[in-house]
Amino acid sequence: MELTWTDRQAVHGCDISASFFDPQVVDREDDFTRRMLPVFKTARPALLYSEQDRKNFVADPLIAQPDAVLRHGHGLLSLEYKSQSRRSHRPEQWQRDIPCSGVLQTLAAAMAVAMESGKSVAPLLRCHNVIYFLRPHPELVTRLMTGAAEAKAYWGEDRYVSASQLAAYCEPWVRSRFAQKDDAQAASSEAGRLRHEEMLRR
Amino acid sequence: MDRDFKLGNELTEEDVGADRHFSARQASAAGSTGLNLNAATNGGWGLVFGALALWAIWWLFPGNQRQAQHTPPPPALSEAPAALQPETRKPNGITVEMGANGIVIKGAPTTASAPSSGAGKTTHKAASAASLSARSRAASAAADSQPDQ
Repeated sequence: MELTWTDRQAVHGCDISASFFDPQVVDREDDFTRRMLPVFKTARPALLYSEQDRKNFVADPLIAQPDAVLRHGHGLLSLEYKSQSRRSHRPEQWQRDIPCSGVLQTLAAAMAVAMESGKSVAPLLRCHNVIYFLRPHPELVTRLMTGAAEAKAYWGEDRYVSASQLAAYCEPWVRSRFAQKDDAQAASSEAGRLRHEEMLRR
Repeated sequence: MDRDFKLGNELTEEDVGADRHFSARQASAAGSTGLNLNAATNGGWGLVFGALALWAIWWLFPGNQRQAQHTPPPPALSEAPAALQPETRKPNGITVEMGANGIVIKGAPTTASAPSSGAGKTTHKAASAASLSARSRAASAAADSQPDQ
């Protein structure tokens, strides 16, 4: 059975599906899966590791500690949770709200989980009022793979580079390579330019 | 990162599906392409600097070809053409020239100053010879100015 997604857009080098929900309702759930993965209506993926387990997944030199790893069918779910101080994303402009660093960190962690487990992994990013399913562009995955050794040297690490460090290292490249200006951004920029010109005329 | 892995491209209530396979070998090849390009670039710079170094060595330590263009040594003073010899004309008509065997002083010779042989030839006392000549001319001029007795 297909999952119900609110929207689907290409952002930060990924084809991303978004599912919005009411956080005040979902956060009251006792069940971990219901609370963290509200996109699932009937399925109950099995929790393998949570943040408390501090389970490290290593794909030398990358090391990652996802917030949760769950078994789902024949594959795994790698979940990253970014509450962003309980700030809600706007359903009509979530492309501008979704954190690029969070997307990259989620991907890096999912890659490490996939390498160590040998299973197919679905990267999921859960924010305050929305959960995202990330399908990365192959060029982005290649950049994350080749960038791991560079990031390790950049951050001066001896043994491993963390997923968040790799994300921070690759973020400028991703923003440059996959930059896009949607209609709302273009309209906003144009309105700003007109206001600026009007201010200078006074 | 030396292992292949799969990321799910589809997600349903039941499973993670439509696996997308990522090859570590392809990623490393993509990464090493940049390194190869860098190596090629470095090789190019090496050729440039090598050529410059060879040129500098050739310039500083010339071979036989450049020795053939060597400037010939200046001719001996005895062989030098007269036109090239330095000459200084004094206001009183005395000429100081560079002769084959030294400095030659010419002009208004007097009996007192004229050498008996090897006229005007000095090798290293040209200044004293010129002053002697001047003194003798002054003495003869003083004698000419006295009335005949």
